[in-house]
Amino acid sequence: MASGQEPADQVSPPQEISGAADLVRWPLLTLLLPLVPLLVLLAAVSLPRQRQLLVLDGQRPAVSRPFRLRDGWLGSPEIRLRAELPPNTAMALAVDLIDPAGQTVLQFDQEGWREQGIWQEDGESGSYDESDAELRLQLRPRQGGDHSLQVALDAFSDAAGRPLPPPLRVSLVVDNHSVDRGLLLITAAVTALLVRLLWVGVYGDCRQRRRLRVDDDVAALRLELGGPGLVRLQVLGRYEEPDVPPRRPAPPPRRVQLELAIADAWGAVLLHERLELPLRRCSDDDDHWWLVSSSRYLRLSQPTSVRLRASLPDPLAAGAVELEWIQLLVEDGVVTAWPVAVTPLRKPG
Amino acid sequence: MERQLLLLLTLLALLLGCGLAITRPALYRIGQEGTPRARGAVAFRGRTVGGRWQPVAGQRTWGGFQGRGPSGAK
Repeated sequence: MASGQEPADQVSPPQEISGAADLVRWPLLTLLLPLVPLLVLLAAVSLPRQRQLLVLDGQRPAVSRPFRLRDGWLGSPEIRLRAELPPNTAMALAVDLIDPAGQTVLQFDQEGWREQGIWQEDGESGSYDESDAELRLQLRPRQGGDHSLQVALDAFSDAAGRPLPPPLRVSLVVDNHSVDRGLLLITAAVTALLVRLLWVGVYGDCRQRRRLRVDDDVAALRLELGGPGLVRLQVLGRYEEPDVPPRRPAPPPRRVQLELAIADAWGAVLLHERLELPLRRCSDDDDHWWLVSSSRYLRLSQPTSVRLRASLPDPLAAGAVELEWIQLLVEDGVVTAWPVAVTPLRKPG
Repeated sequence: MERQLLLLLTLLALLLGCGLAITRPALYRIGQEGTPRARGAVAFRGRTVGGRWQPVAGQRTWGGFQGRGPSGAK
């Protein structure tokens, strides 16, 4: 092996930054697309609404101040009526919508209730306050203009059905810019998913991808690599406890040394380094293991045959931790969205 | 090729979703046949026929107190 005779760099060699030829930046703009529905939603909820309070005395219907219903470029009108009910009461309203010409264009009854109390169950208790006293009516006007609501209090009673004395206050909110919030959120999610797929299509698409996993402490590959773009080299190692633990196990180290070597077709060493990498402990329900990983970018401007070799120490901690496998992932012709550090290679000869 | 297709699909989904959410073409317009959709305990006392609101005669039955207990409190 060519790297055997070469002194290895003990620390990472100085790195250069990838250039414009390895960058594809236009997909960055697509990150803004999922924000568009959210901005529309933000604009719709930020626009001012018409609010007023109606006091129903039970004698005669209350007529609201005129409010403008307008079918504009952003959203459609929504009328919200909410009765301010005292606890443990119910009410019934008779509502007429009157258009700018004074014609009744809609009539409906609205019922509502509010219940307040204390619940107890299995030794636990708490209070509750529930109600259903809100109406949301979404429609477009026949013609934009000042409309009004005529609201009559048909019934107002307590939980036992006994009539209660008026007044009852009802809040009226008219929003001329209501939008379909659910559809906007779904659109944002679908757009984000499609942008994610687009990113995979741009940055995950490479000339060659090769993965090698071996149950050994050395993984080596010979590949034809190089050309436009970068070479991405990822090393992943997994350590586990042995089936038969040693009698005197030592604690696993915090860092392990990865030896990485790259040689060309004639055995000339292009890169040989030893990297101190953190050993990450992972655990599942009743299983645990350790992972070590390293990812580097290289530049090979011309296609050439290279040999990649990665090795990890085995065992660790006096036999308390053993290397399960080591994996090499090599991608050729990689482009990135932003500049990345590129490990320089020695010139052959 | 697939990149352009994905970009086109993304833009189409965005324009279609935002356009429908803003304009809501199926929303009821006053004067249209029938009644609008409403959220809440609502009963319409008539319907639009031939562009004019036609009230329906008849006494509505008042349901009284409808409290359902602490369904969501626990």
